[in-house]
Amino acid sequence: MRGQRGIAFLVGLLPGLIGGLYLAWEVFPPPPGGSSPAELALPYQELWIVLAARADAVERDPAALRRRLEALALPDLPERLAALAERGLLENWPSGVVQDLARAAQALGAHSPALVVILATPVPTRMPPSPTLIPTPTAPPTATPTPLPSPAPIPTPTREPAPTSVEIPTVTPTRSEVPTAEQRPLCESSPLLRIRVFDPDGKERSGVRIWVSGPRGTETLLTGLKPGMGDGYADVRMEPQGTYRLGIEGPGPVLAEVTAQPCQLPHGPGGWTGWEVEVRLAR
Amino acid sequence: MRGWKAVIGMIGLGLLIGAGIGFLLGRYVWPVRYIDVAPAELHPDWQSEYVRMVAMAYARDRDLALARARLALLGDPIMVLQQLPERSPAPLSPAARTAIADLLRALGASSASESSGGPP
Repeated sequence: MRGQRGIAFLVGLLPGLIGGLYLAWEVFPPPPGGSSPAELALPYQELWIVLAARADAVERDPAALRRRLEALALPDLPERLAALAERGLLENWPSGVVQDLARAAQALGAHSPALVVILATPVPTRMPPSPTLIPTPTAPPTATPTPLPSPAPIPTPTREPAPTSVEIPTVTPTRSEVPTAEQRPLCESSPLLRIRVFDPDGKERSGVRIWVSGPRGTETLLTGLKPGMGDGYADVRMEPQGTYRLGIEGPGPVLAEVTAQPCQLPHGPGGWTGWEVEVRLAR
Repeated sequence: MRGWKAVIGMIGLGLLIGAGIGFLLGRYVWPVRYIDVAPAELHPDWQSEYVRMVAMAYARDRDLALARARLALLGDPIMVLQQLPERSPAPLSPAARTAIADLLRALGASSASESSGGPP
């Protein structure tokens, strides 16, 4: 009899627990209004970052900058700031905003050649008004109970077929005092930006650092890390429709700007233009 | 018969206790988190931080329309700024104080000119 009662208690307890959780999450959830910046929608998070960087330029208080930005609880905060500064640069935000972002990114420990370039660019005295930087309100906030894990998408492996060289090469005029670049499109299903660096005598040069700025931010490549491909070789995967700029590390010019555009593969469905860029170093 | 009554009573007791525990767990241990919120849903401390930053951004770019639009995400811009010193959890830095005063003055002047320039 005692055992029966215990089982009966457990039989009641389980639906009771589920019902209690349902009441707390769905029927009587706490009112909104106690959120932290980490719960802001993405456009507002970007606005928060811009404001924190702007405020830091006035206040010059690294502790306040860190406190405001760490409230966003982003795992890759310095990189996000640097990426936002680079995006601002590409989207022609006011240079003061871009520089404040770059300075804040540097203060948090981000390093990228693009940041050096941004910070070395003089700011015009009279700045144009900021174009948007105010997100338009969208859907109401979504309530999510914390314990539910969100399933992560499983990456699918992709095969890398041999590229087919097709179109007419685009040539940048060459001069020997500055590094020059020559670029050739290739139609392939998974576009790749292949870079080969040559010294002035036409020999492939390893150990050259190249920055590549694209939709995912800026990354630095080092030539010669894939010896089978040649001493001066480096590559980076391109996003379809993504535009990439590249240059030799340091405050040098942009040597090439290429975009992965739709193209027709000779056998099969449509592909994307990958690029081969040959850089010749200056004497 | 008495045995059945006891079993039903125990089920009821389990339900009640389970519901209580479930509610407490759902409220305090795994509470609902609001995601994708707008600045108006921030905790008041963070709202005042937001207002400070807007004022200092205004000190940087002098774009009154932009500052007004950013403050409007929290409500009436002038009210929001006026309430800031009482809502602020941390003391305001001199730079923030100056920026807020500047922005308040600019907003006040602009709304005064709007009201005087309008139809009688």
